[in-house]
Amino acid sequence: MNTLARRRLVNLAALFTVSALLLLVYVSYTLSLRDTSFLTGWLLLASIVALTLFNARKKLPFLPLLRSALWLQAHLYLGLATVLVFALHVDLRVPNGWLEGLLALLFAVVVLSGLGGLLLSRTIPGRLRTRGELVLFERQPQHLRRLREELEALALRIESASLSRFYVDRLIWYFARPRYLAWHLMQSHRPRQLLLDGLAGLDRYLDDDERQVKDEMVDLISTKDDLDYHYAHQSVLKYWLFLHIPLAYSLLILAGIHAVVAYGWLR
Amino acid sequence: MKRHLQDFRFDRSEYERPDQDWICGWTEAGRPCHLGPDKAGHCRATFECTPFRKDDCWHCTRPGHRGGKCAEGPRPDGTCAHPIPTCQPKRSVRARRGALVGGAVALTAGLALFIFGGPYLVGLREAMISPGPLAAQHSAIDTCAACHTAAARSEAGAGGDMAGGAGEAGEVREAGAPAEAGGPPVTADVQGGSGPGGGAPVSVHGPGLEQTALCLSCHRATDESALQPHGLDPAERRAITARMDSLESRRVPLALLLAALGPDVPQEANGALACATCHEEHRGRDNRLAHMDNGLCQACHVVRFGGFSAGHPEFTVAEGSDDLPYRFDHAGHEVEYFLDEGAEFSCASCHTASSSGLAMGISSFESMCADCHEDEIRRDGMVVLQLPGVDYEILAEAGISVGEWPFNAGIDLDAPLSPLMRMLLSTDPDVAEALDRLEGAELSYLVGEDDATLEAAGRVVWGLKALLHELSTGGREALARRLEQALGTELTGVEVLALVDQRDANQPRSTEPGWLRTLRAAQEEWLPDLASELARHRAGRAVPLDERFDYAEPEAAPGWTVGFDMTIRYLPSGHGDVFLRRLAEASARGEGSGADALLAMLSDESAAGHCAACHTLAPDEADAATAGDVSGRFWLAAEGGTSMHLLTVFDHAPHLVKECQSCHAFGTEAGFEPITRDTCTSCHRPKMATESCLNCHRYHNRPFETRPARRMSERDAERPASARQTTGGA
Repeated sequence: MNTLARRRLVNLAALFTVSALLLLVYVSYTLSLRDTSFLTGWLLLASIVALTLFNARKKLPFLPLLRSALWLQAHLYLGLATVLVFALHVDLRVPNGWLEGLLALLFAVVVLSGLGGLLLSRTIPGRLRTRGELVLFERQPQHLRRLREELEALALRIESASLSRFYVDRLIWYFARPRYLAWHLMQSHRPRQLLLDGLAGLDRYLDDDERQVKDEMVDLISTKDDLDYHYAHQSVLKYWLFLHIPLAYSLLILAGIHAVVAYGWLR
Repeated sequence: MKRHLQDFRFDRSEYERPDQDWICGWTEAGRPCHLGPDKAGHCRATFECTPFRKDDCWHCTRPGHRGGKCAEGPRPDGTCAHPIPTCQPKRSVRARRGALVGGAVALTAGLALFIFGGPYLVGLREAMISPGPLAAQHSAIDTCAACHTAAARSEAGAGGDMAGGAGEAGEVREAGAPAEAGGPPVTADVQGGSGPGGGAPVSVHGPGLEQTALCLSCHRATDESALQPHGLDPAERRAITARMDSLESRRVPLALLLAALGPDVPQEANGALACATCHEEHRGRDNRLAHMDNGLCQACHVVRFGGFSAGHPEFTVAEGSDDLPYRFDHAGHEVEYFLDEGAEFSCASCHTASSSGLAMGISSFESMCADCHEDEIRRDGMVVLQLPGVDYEILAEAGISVGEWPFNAGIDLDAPLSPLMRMLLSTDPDVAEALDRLEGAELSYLVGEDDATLEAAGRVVWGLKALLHELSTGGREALARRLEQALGTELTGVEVLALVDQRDANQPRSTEPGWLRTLRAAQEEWLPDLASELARHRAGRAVPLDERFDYAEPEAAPGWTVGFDMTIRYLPSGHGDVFLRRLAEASARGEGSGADALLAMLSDESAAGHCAACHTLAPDEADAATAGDVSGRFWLAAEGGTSMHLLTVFDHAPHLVKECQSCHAFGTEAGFEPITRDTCTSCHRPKMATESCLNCHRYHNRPFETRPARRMSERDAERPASARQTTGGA
């Protein structure tokens, strides 16, 4: 058993144990006609605070607060346990109050975005390794500029009218910025293939020199396509947090208000 | 050929700092400057390098990863020949995410502060705070303050004291409501009872009962134990629990075993349970407030089991037991009467489901029994007054004269003094003492009795004469007085109408009652000198014996008869005779030996009217304790009952798809075989009919009664005007 598998086994066992204990306490309280909403509510609020601290931990890299990798593992498994706490808190029903409904919606979006992020962070790196060159997200505009400059230099050597038209009509637009991001996320090769098919269709009108230019264009298009593929996937890895983190903070604030209201209206 | 895009050598690539808040504005174009913006986001563009001077010559210092030394070299004044164009710096991805987080926090906190923090948008605030719509039964409640003391205090603080103790029936008077958390426990007195203004106050003590006190301001609690588990008096509950201790828990579900590890059921110090312990609100219009899970039902029970078909104790109430308010020999009737007559013995010919379907009602006497039993009811009269046989010759020999006395009196020598007569006589303490002394002796045969017994017999005879004289002269008032003294209780209005006035409520009171007309006629014939004899006797003068042989038969009023044996009898008019009904009810309510003897007489199946042939005229402990109205229970047979036990009901309607006798099998004795649990579990088992506890059991042994809706309007009127205008739906 490798380290990753062992780690997962240990973490899942801990998650199962905690969940079983939680269920035991919940059932025990419920069948004793106790109001479990305050018990589960405090657990839920504490869990959300703990989960949010992961973001704060990343802002404090200089403090000796264990490794971020450990925090990430704790964040993932505590997040899964929090789903159970939430389900018990709402008694497995959809809340029908405005504030509670909003809280439930926020919680659902935060959880789903978190699970989505987990899925992305587990699948995208593998995809990136299988295609093109691994490049830093921040440097991709520079690499694109270099490709664009090479294409422009190549365009000066074009003598064929058909190749010139293809360059003007399609390649200038294509190299202006990252294109076909959604197609890349869907693992589609169709955009690149259309461009390459377009170039291949010009082949019979070209002489040997122009065919060499065309072959270099094919090479540039393939490189640009791989670069766009990386840009699309790395963007997703960057931008899913734009949903997860802001809503998590909103959830935390509303959960605090909910707790105050619950105690205020307890009697 | 694959292109190589990226180098990580220090002399071929820049060092990236993605955690910086600002990036060069040329980044998107792929030409970021090597300086980058400052921390405030200002462009710091100058030149591509900073030339240095060596040997009076300026040299370019542009690093290799930015193109290396330029061909032009620095200008003569030492400045770089390649100025960097200025840009508008942009936020990095991380900084944009941080700004979005800040915006979300500010927006959420700002909106929350606006909605919850200020005096505006009260309706929206209440709508936001509300955890959901109320159940349909409570949908008329439009303010939080109706159920939450916190809201009431808030409104009171905002616009006046709405929770002040008005002291009206049903109003919560908070004696110790805490002004803040941790204050003294609440003590509230809530008027209960079912009368127009409520009954006795139900004390609600405990810090967890603030809401419950508000619940009881609309739902009438009928007694002090209303908040106790099952509404039972603690002693009664302990007695039931003690009985249950002899049973074993069987097939207890794992969840219930786990629950045993947890805390106890949340009860107040006095054992009271808050309403919200079981009734959860704000679960939507369709929420079933009274629903209880089978597991929750067993939270407090000492005997636990897996389900109705899995461990539920066997039934303990046998069919046809004495607990029933009526008796009917089903098997006997089927075999001895219906079979002999060749008539069909069908359950449906007598029993039909009530309008609610809950109970199996019983058809009327007229349609079920009158053909055979009507004449039987009318046949025998009840002796109300009588002149018993008196051995006046022995008394005369002893020097005790009884004056005039009909010869035929007591011709039936075996007939004892009727209970009603004896009860009326006993209202005179002297006569009562004489009757006690006569115990064991016969008034009609006094041979060999001692002087004291003979003297007592004389007192009884003169007491009897005094009674007759008092009734014939005093009329209704005298009878009412004697009856109330004899029964030890005050007669109700309907009892006076039936027993004393002998008239319907719509008849004039001037009508002389039948008993009085008959008594006066009989007295005129039997004892014509009664008044003068009594006067002489009371004056201590001798009253000679006058054995009367010659008298005419007195004329009796309708419904009454005067017998040859000197008796005045009441003739029942038929089933449901109001005289006999009220007499039985009054005697059941009454106290003392007279009332007991009268009820015992009426409880004899052979007594006049034969009421006890079907009706169980036996007051139970509850009647005795509360002096309650037994009329409904005595005659319940005609109305049909649903309750089998204090906390158990049975809904017949859904079970009528089966033959009645599949559950109610005739027994060998007069009655039915006991219904066993197996009878029910043939259907009520998993994957078939439901096994909910609530199918047969009710939690509250006495229902709470809902007050009229005006309570809400009154409460609303007491609220501050501002709150009324701005409050939204609950």
